Amino acid sequence: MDHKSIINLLFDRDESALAQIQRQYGNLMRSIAFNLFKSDTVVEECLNDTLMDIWNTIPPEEPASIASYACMLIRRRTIDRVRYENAQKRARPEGSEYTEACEELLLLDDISEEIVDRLDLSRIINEFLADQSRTNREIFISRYYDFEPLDSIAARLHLSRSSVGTRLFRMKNSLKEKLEKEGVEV
Amino acid sequence: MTNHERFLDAMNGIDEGFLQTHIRKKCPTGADRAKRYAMAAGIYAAAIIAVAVILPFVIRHGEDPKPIPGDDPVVAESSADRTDEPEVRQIDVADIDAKYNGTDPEKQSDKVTLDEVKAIISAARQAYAEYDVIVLTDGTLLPTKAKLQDLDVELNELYEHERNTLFEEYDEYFNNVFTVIEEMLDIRFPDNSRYERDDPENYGLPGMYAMNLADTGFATAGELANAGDDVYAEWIMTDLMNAKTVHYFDSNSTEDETELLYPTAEEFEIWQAVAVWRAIKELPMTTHEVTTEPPEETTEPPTETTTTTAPPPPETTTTTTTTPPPETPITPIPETPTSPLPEAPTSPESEITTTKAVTTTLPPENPTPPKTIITFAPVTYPPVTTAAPLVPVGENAVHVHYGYNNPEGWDNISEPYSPRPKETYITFCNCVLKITIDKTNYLKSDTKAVVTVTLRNNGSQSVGLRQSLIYYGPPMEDKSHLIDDVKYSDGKSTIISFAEGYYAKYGLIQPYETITLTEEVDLSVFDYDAPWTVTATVHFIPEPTMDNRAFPTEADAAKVRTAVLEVELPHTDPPPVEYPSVEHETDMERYTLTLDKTHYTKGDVIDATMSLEKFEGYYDVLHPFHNDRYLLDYLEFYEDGVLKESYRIPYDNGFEIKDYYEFYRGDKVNFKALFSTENASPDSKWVIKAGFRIGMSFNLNYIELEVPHD
Repeated sequence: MDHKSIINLLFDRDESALAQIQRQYGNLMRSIAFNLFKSDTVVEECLNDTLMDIWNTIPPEEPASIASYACMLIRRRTIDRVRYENAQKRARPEGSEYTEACEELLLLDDISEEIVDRLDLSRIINEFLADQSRTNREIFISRYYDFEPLDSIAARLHLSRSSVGTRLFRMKNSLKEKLEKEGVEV
Repeated sequence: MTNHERFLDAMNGIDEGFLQTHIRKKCPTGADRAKRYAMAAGIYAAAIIAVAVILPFVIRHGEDPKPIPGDDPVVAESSADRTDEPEVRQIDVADIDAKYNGTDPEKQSDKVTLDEVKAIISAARQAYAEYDVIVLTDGTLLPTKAKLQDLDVELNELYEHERNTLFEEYDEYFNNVFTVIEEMLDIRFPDNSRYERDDPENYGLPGMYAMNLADTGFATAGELANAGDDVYAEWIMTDLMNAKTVHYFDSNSTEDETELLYPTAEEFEIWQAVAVWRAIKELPMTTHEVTTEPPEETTEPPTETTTTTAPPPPETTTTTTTTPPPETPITPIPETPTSPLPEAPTSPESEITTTKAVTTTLPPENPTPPKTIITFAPVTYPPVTTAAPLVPVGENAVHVHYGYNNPEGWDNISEPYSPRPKETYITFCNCVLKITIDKTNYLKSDTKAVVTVTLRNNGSQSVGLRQSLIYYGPPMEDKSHLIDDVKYSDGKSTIISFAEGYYAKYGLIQPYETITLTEEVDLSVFDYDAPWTVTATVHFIPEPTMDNRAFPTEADAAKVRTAVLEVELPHTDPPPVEYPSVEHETDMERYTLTLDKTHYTKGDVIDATMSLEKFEGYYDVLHPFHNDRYLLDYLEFYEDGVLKESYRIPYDNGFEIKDYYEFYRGDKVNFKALFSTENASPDSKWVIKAGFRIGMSFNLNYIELEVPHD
């Protein structure tokens, strides 16, 4: 079933749309959630919450792509869950790529928070991604949007793991420079 | 909220187009993939045709006369007029290429070639070695004091003598040489120079991709891995300039680094030197290796003796690397040669007096250590004696170690049967960080390892500790995590322990205080083939008055020192028995058929297992004209080509693909069947055949295996 048909079902308040989304994009959504939280139970909870979010927000929302919309929602849901668990110290999301990604991005903390507060981060990230090659963009999004492990990215893109790591390292430095530059201009 | 968390949140707002492209790439439809393969094949064919047509033309017209090396008059070597001063040889950076490569700037094209870049690198290094001063484009005089060949002499002794001086020299050498290379590339290739790839590229075809990446050797060439993309000279320069940084980033896989950073073995020397430089310069940690022998001083009489009985306490092994505080330079402890340990008597009720650790070998039938009274010779510190653990070695012997504490208060017995050849530790702020593992070797059957991480303050002053960087909770005002960053890793996955409950009150560890964290590590989640490590990290605060919360001020954060301790969890299993097996592998999946015995006789039951493992892609198109989507089809037993017994798997125990993405990369399905050989003739040929239903065609794939029998 194509994107348009699913949106139409949602607008008609037909619950089969959710089943269809789960069938077509369930594994994609699960993979994002599982990268963030290595627990099948939590992943299923987040998936269900996301389906509920989709049901509640469409309509009035009419996303251009139901897949990317669903990915965005489950990503947000699972990150919130990871942070909640971390803050409460209820359970450790062991093996979570979120922790790894946070450690990788610690260099951004060198920039003053006041400066970052003033920046339009989404715009800067989009400009930054637009400047990247297609492969680099794919790596960056896979790592920091999907939280995909480096090994998996490397296997999928037929690169060596160190090559993926190197590219990410350069991109992070480049992003940091861009943020610093934008911060000065602001 | 920290910056990196804000950044991760802001990633939610990335452009819809980027996301859709990403999702298409991650989950391509069958049509997408077919299109990509077709396009790649077309480009490849076009390239072959183009080369075939253009090559003869190039050969006929490409014979430009090369300028004569050394003919260029612009090489400016200063000749000193005064004979009483040594001659200073200097060269302009703009002239190096002409001098060593005979390049004529007027006749060069704008096209960047790999060979030319390599020649420039080589010339830069040569000029740096031969001249005293290089004049840069802005007129700066660059003295070439630090020569690589001089530095190499001391390379082997790097960890023992004058390291700090050598770091600076290496630093200077590489900075200088890279500056020269950068300027030469800048002069030779203007900004609009183009590096054109010889071969078309499409990352959907891994073979082509690998070939081209290897050909170019530069990471950036691979980065723009799409047909028609050009790589500009500035990219190549950036790569060269970033070489040091890249090495710093990933030091684990040297093969990849070599392939990634340097085109040929010519650059291996630089790579090696950079790697050494990187290890020393970028990680200014001091590692001291000490032997098991204490200083041989005899000012105090022995105060204790120990009678050892089994089971003794676990073996202690310690490896520590720390960053020393700036105001407290650490004096390296000189390594002393390890002499063989004396043999302990194995007879009961014996006695021995020694200044060294003792080892003995016990028969396997009686592995309990004898009641040996060991008296250690007088030393300057309280010789608290300790019995080290039983260490099973092979099948025929059990080794026992006895030893005593070293001046720092820790066991230091590891030779000669420890999995680590030497103990390495250092005191930091008079503290010692230690990891103890309960076994010297873990087998596959071991489900857990008991790991003890200990921090002890051996000094007379309290030491401030800081909370973990990865702790996200609210600041703790009166206490700080002690060992708050313990990781168990198999190289692929890492389990992080927050060591909850193990605190230092008020963020301080008091003099002679010891705090211990003991945890059971679940080994079942680790990859047995990968190295396992336990890492403990402690953040020290040199000034007790500093803010010890997780996120202190920048000024305070800069003063924090970190001690990292890493210990390997050794794990080796006896080699497994190899059962008869046949395996067929395509670029997408692996088919396997395995038997349960190496040899069969009439009457035995053949336990055959077939399996299918998907390691690339997923099945989104499977049996397009069939309703069923079974992967495993049948297991059959043939005798001289005659079918004797058969399991039709969809009916007996099928594995149906129920969903669009059900059988994904990493998935594996098995089916096991038992075949009786009661009625089989020993003279006939026995064959097990396994059938699979894979792929887009109607053809069923099968593999077969002859059963070895009497």
